[in-house]
Amino acid sequence: MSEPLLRIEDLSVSFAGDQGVVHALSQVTLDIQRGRIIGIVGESGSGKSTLALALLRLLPGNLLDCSGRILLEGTDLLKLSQAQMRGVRGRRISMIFQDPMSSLNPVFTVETHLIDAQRASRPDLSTSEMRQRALEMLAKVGIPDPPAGLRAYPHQLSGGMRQRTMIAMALLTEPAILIADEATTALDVTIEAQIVALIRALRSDYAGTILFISHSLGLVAELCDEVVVMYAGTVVESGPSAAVFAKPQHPYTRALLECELDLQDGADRFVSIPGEVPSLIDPPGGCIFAPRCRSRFDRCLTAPPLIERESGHRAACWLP
Amino acid sequence: MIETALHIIRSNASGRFGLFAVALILAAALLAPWIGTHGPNAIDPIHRLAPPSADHWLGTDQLGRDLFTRLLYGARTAIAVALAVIALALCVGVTLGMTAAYLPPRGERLILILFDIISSFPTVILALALVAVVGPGFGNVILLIAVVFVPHFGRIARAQTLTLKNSPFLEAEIVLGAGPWRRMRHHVLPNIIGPIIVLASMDIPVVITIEAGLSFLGLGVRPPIASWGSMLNDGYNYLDQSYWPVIASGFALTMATLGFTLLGEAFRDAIDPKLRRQP
Amino acid sequence: MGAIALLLSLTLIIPGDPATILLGPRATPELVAALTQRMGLDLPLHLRLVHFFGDLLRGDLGEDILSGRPVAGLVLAALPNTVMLAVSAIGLAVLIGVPLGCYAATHPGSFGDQVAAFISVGFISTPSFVIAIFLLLIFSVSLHWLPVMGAGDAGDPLDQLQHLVLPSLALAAGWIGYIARLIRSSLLEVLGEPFIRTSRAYGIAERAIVYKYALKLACIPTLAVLGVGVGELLGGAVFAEIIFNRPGLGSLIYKSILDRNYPVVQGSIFIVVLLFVLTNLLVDLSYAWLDPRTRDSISSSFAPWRQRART
Repeated sequence: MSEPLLRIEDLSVSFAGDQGVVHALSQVTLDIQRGRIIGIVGESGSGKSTLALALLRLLPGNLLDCSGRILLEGTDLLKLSQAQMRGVRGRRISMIFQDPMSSLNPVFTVETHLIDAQRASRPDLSTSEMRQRALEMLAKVGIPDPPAGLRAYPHQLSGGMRQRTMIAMALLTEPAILIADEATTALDVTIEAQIVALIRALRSDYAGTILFISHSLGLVAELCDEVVVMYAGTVVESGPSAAVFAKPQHPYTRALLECELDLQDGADRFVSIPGEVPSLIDPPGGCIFAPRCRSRFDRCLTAPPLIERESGHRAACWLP
Repeated sequence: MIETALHIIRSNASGRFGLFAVALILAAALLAPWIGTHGPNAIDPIHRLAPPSADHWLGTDQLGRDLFTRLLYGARTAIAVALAVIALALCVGVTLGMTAAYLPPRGERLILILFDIISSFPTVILALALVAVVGPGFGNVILLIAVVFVPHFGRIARAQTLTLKNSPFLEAEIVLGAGPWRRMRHHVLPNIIGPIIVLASMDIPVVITIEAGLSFLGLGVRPPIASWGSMLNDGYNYLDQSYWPVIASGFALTMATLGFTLLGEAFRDAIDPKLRRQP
Repeated sequence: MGAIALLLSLTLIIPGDPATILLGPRATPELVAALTQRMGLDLPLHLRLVHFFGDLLRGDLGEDILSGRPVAGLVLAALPNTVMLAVSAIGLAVLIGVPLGCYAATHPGSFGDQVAAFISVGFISTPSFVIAIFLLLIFSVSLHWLPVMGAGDAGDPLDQLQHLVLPSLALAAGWIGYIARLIRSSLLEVLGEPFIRTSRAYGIAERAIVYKYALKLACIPTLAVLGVGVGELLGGAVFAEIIFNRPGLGSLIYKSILDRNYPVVQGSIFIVVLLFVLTNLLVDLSYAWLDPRTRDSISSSFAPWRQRART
């Protein structure tokens, strides 16, 4: 396989919390290929959003340590200066945030947002050209009456419309990687379906890589070419969607799938994973999922490496 | 609670400075007759507007009175006026505010309108307007500055009482047959007075400023009572001959207002970090 | 509401018997009665109020009892000087206070931040008349840099400007402190909001984020407090005008209080309060200008876009 677009090696991130050091990510290693939709799933607190923010180096102020390497086409983003990093944000990598209500500035119009987002990536364009592109993009993401949309302030839009605006903003920058961080979580189910359909439809226009971060396995299965399952700051399983969902290798993935299937059935039996997500302040040694795992055994006292089972399908578990 | 508050206040530099300045001014006010090197009103016509010397540590004013001594007595005036004003405004304001919360809507409206009238004036302008009516003088100054501050305490007292009024423990008191006055005195008041006193301490520098301002205009305490404001005005009138009176009284005034402000802010932060948001 | 407040408060400041005070103890009762009648003070309170407001509507604030000139004319002559002073003080305060607050907010905890915090609290707590006198002492009496007294030659803008520097600086000092503090705290809060992270994620320069995206929002709470602060500014103007011997509303109020010239006191205080109320109205309106959310809640009637977007 060719050189990946993005290679994450041994990425560890820790924060200063109230009760001690929080190890939000520990030794995450991932390869991300060009032009694919990659789903990153996990419960809240599994480190999905931290991973996304780390890619843009936008981690919050209580960051203690961010080590490892993030290679975007061979350049280590962690070694760039702030000024160089600004050249990556909104040019090579753009992001759609979780909460469209608070992620748009309430005192500026959609037009200001869409035009300023383009300034970094397209310095060659005049303001009126950028405006024209913004209009076209609004139409493309399904906003009725784009001229009125440009004049609107964020609070005048519904949640779905705001998220479409965020998507338009991200696509206008023509990034190599588009990160959608829980982009549909704050929306109603029907709107969520619309946005997912929109992302799929946009595939024909946008050839870049999409990192689709979600806690919903169902959405990821529907949309993504590949899946990365995260648990407590580590990657426990990754691989092509079809393979992962057909033959999950890690007990955690299996448990997640069971929960979700159960929800879809609407059955009265509610399957949940026993136990709680381990504390990230003082994570247990060995396999991080072991305390909740139904099939743990002696070897789980040492942490299992992420091993390739079939082509491209990896899992971090001692079970065969 | 007070002890931990003091500890927190001492733990930051501006709190320490505030504590120091306030302690200094309180000491000056209390001990003026003993520390003072001369009589506060002892006139020395030969040494008028003298620069600092061994005899007159800060020099003398246009009548040859010792500036250092008058500064000490000025502290007395400032502190006395400030405490009296705050006490008076606190009593009247809290009573009105609590009563408003318990009165039927029409009575409540009346009290609120009264508050609105008072606060529709800029503070200093209202003080001036009231002076125009009642005239200057020690007692009048206290009275009229207190009027200016009544709505401040009244509004807070009312708001606090309203949030407390329907709490379960007060409902229980109603069931037990306690009348509104009893409930206010025994249950509401002890619960609301803490935050109000913190805010009152923040008003001390403002009162000192207004008193000095009125006295500066000759509309505050009457001579020969020493006030930093009237000393500043005397100095201003003789600025071309000596700048010591202006420097001495201006510095004392700044020290007092700055000290009380810093201490008040440190006090507020120590007692209730939630109030920190307010500027 | 404000009108009721004004109405009642004006009756408050009408003193008991100005005629006696004015004419002195040796005045004959007939003389007192005559003057009382001329001033309309023999009428019952409610009629006096009706008269006062009736006159007010015609732009008549009564007569100066010493010179007999109309009060409205006196007040109108004084007003521009005070407004000029207040406006230049506010301008100066914004010019210095906003950058100071921005610097402190972008370098929280730094040495500069602490210095700014100390300057702010010093400026806020020092009475404006003390600052005025110290400025006078330093720049006029000792250094002879700037003219001391008066408002300057009416026909000479440069001279007027020179006379304006010290008084407006004295008035601005407190506001500089207020603005710097408020901008700092609200800016820090705004910079933590998710939409600022969005701006950062799109490679927008930090400077533009602070000065374009965050500052506009940080101004809203600042403005709210400054509306009330105008009251203090107008009060401070009294002192600044007296200390620098400038004609204006403040010195007019002061002189007429000393002269017991009550119609003038009443008229000029009325205008000051009016000014205060009007600026607060202006502040409320400027919210709407700054914050589209309040704008919409004010004029929520016409929003075809929103209705379409919701469907």
